[in-house]
Amino acid sequence: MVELVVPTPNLEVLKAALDSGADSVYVPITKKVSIRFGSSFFSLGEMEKAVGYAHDLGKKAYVVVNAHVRDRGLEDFQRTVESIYSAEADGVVVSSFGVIDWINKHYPIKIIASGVASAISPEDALFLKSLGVTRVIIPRLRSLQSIKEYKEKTNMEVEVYVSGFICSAWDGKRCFLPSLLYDVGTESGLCIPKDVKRVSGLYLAGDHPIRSVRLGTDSFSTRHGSVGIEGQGLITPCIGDYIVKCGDDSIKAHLMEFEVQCDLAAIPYLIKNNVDSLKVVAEVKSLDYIKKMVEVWRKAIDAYEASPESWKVEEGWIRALQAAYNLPIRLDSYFKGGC
Amino acid sequence: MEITVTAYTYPEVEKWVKSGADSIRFGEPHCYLKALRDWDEKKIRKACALIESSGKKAQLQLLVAPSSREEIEYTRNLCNLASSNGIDLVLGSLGMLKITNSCVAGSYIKAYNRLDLEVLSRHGVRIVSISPDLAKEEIEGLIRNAPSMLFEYQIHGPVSLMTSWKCFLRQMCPAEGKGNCSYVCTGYIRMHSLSGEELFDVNGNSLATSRDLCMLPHLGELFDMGVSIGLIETRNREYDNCIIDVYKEAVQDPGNFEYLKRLRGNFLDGWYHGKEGNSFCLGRKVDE
Repeated sequence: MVELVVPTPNLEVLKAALDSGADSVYVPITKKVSIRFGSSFFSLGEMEKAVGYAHDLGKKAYVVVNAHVRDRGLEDFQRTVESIYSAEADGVVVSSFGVIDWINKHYPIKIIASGVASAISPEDALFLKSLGVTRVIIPRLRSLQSIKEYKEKTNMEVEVYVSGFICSAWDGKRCFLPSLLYDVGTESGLCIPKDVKRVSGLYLAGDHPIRSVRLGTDSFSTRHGSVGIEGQGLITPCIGDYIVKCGDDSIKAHLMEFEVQCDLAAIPYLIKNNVDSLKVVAEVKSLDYIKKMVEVWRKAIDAYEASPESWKVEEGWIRALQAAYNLPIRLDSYFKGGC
Repeated sequence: MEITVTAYTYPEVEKWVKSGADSIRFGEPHCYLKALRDWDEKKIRKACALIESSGKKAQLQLLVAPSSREEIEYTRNLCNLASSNGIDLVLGSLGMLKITNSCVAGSYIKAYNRLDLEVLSRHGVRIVSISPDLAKEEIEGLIRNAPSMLFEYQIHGPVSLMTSWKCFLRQMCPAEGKGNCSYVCTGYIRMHSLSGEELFDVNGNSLATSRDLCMLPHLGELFDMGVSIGLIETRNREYDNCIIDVYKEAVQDPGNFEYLKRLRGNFLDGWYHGKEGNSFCLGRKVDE
């Protein structure tokens, strides 16, 4: 049976995801070793509770330690892995190939290569397998044919993104945009710090382009007005709304379209080709959003497994997801060929 | 310190063999990330012969991971071609370490700590390209932990928004081949309202920064740390020749800021001083 996995930023969301039908959850632990989710991370104590909660339900919890760890953070990192192992987590999600190698030598724990590990071809996946990886998360929007090749060529467990925001770095490699915007290091892979809600600044409007607006730790620049970053619902800076003020008017603008990948229609192909896990990324929104999203995916997977011949994407699922997302959704990314 | 320079076209290779560069790095259309055109195996051989005859070293860059059977076969042929001609291969993904050895790990292979270096060393990597987002102390530590390896660092040229096989920004523009990058993020990006009114351009002129990285004032430090190869990413301009010459002279005389005067514009020193993304964005001059 294909596994429905949901990354979660905190215990509340984790419980909602598991209660709504997720088979497993990702548990990002401390911001030094995990990326994404702003500054929402599980402490070591919360991680133990999360693992316990999942196990009580007969489900799984994988702990995410996928930061691009530097030498100065290695000792901390290694202690964290010891804690994860002691907590009897079902696996670790890692990106650094050196760290994968080290974990494999020291702990008999399942190692999942994070999307950030950039296994952009089956050959990359095979290399990671030789270091001890048993499951590979395929970078976003590879074609259906290439997903099939991963499975055939590597005989590894394969996990595929099927839902979530589409950001500028499709393969999850390093994006420097947050570092340029928020004065944070690049090692965290942080998309947006939680405490950045809104930035507004003033500068002289006039004929001359203004180089920058600096307020607090955030800096931006524009030639026509002050720029703000709206914190509500903003997950990644490349798709965030920027409030541009032109005189008394405020206009919302963004670099990339807000669009949610939602590949329900790919379920038959992915299951037929023995994909092991479908990853539904529940970005930090309301609990209701998480619950609805997971419920729809659960129903869709169960319906296919119960009756593959008569399965089709139901209108009700799409309506429920559209209501939950309140954003444009893309239903056929994989059928457009991927990349 | 040796100077390596990138060439995007065959005429550029011809140009750089007359320059002060010690090595010339070039690629071919199926494997290279940047905007390369008009390469085929015959031309690769010709370029290699030209570079070798000038007493310089040729490096063949294989950045994009091959995924289809044809691409893998093609990559194998290139690896064979490189090894039979004693040419270094510059790799961009881990999977290719299974195909070849004795190579350069490009910055797309994310070597951030000593454990990463151990794995690379075990797989025959001799030269590691240091990631541009590492700070001075981190570079120092990395090099100290791998005395048997050589380290390359980008000393001049554009720094992109991300190191990614597939950058969505590039998708927004006409692209050829896999992950073809022409530094869209360092170009002039403007945003318009639906009615056509210009809204704003991030960073005044570009998403990342249009200013080039310039490590000229830090050459001495880099050399003392153990960086033995300086990489100059070119922008396909006549002016690139001047940049190469300046650096070639500067490596003989590190610490002499007079060389800066021969370079045009304001430059940045990236993340060298730590997590100063804002400084990078705002364009602190390197001589400030």
